[in-house]
Amino acid sequence: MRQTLIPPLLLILVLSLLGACAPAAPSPTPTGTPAPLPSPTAVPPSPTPPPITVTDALGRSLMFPTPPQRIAVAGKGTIMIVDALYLFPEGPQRLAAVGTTAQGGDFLPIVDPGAAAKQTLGSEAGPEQIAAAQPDLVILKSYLAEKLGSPIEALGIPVFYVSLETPEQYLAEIQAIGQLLGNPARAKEVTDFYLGSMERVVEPVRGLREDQKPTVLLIQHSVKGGETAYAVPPASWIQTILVEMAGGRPVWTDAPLGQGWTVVNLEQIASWNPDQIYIVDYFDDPGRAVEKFVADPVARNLKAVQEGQVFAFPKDTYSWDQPDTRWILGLLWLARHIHPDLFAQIEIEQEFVAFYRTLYRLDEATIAGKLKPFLRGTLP
Amino acid sequence: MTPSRRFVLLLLTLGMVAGTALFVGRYPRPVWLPPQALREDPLAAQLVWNLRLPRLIAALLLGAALSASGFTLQMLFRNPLVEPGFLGVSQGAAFGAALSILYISRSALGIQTAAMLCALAGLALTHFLARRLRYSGWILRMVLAGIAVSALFSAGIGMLKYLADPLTQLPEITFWLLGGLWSTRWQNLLLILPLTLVSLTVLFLARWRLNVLALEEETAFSLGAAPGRERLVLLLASVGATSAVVSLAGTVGWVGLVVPHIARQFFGANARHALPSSLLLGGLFVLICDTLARTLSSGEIPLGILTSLFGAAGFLLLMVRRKIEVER
Repeated sequence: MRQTLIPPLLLILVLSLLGACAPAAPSPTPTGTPAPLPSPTAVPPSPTPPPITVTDALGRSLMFPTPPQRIAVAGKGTIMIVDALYLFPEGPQRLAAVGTTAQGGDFLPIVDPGAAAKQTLGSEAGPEQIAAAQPDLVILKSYLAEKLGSPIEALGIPVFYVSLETPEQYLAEIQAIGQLLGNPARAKEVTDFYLGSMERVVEPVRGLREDQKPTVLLIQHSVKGGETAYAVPPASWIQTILVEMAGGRPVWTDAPLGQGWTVVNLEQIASWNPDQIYIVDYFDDPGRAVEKFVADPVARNLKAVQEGQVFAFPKDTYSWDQPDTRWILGLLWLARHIHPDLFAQIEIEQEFVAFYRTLYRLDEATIAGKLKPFLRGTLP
Repeated sequence: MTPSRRFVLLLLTLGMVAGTALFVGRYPRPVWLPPQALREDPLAAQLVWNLRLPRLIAALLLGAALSASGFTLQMLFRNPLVEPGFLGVSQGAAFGAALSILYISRSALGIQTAAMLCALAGLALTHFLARRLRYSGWILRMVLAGIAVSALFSAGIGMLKYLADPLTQLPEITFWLLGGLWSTRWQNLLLILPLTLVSLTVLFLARWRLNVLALEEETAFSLGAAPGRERLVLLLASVGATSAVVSLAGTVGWVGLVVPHIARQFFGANARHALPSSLLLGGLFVLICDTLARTLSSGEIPLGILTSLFGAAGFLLLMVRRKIEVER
């Protein structure tokens, strides 16, 4: 018995010694600024580039000797971050890998002919899969800091967190992304566009009394368990903020709701009985969702249905109500419908063209030929 | 008080609760809808007759089916910890629903059909495995086979959840797994009504035989029963009722386990009284939970969460306060 145990024990001992003598793995740099990895798409930096210091959504300060050249965007809902990156001419070039997305996937090939060549990460990609893309920067939503960000940083890859959930965060984080990409001038152009559009909406509704604002319900139509479901967003989400900014009174904010979309039944909708109802559908034509809603015998008795105030929230390759670059289109569209008397001059199709021309540098032929066919929703 | 009087009292309580629940909800404001609103407010009338009433009936059927099935299985297997999920039925239904959401159809009919077929397949597989096992008696073999089949379906559900699109299909599967009656309308209630009613009628009419079938095989045979055949009929009725209601409401836990115990506490272990009372108590329990689910918050609370919460609390209370017995 003793003899049979000796060879395996010796083997384990030898392997342990070999392991101990092996060179130590490089430790992650505490500053989170590893040397950029060589890349075939790298843009040569200027001779003496100043280091970039930028603060992320978690308030952490990150320093980069040169702008990152291989950026990976991982986690869920990556399209929101990618759309923000693509506001900059450097974005398409620097994006090396991107997580799969359930919505908005049709947009990237329109704005970037090289989109198909980007490495694709699964929506559940872990640190190892992300590291395999050899990024010199990973951009994540801030809620992923503990689960995904920490292990990536432990590999020596810097992580920049964004929130991109509210208009304020958008404006601040577009500036930060501009710094990261070494193009703060473009960041200013973009934020000026947003600020100008916001001002057009916020200013006219500023003086309105509460009783001059209609009660509004925004619901997401979806199918759950094979059945039609209507859900409302939390009070802190951008959908609620947009309704308030556009001069509406969201009816669902006083209700205790969860951290995400909360399913509500028709009875609850009837008890709110709002002046206007806006229906969002992320995976199908919202116009069809409106048709289905108004055809329901119970819903037919709602004030909004009887007065023809049920609207399909527009979308193109991505719905305009979400914390994506298109939220500004959603705001303008909402203002046009909540206060048609105040915002009669807003022509949504013109705004749509101006948005893509200004922010994504697309010409009118591309917008008309490739993006307009995706347009759905109540468009005046 | 005699069991018959208790039964009448239970029936009256159920009637009162059901009548009250029709007027409890979120419209026009929480919690009470004045009855005169049915005449004065067309929207209130629509809500009560087209939303609350079918949902109330579905809650009663769901509770009745789960608890009657649980009671029957506990008697047949002479095991007080058995419930409809025990033979791979609930897990089978959940697997079927998830499979349909991912690969077959996301329509209500598609999901309900797949759930029902997989629930029946769960029972068939359990029965087949139990017959193939060469170990101990029929009951132990069914127990072992049921555990194995449930585990297989659970693994399948895990795999389907892993493969599901996290933004579209996964929330749908998760919502279905938590259970709820929020989407019940007359049309989907009518879809499950025939199988549920036939199955419950079989269980109700055969409740006399349950006392005999709960005895040892030889004793039951000597008392004139055909244990194998009769047990199979009762098993099929239990699974039929369960799969029908689960296909509508998703997986709703604890009802089939805890309600039969409460029924035995008040009506004794004789199936003659305990099964009908279990049926009514189950209906009452789910009706109360569902009324809370649609009234407590402006968002729907998944029914499975409330039944598990109150069911587990009730079960703990029963275990602490009294001894759980099964009469043989």
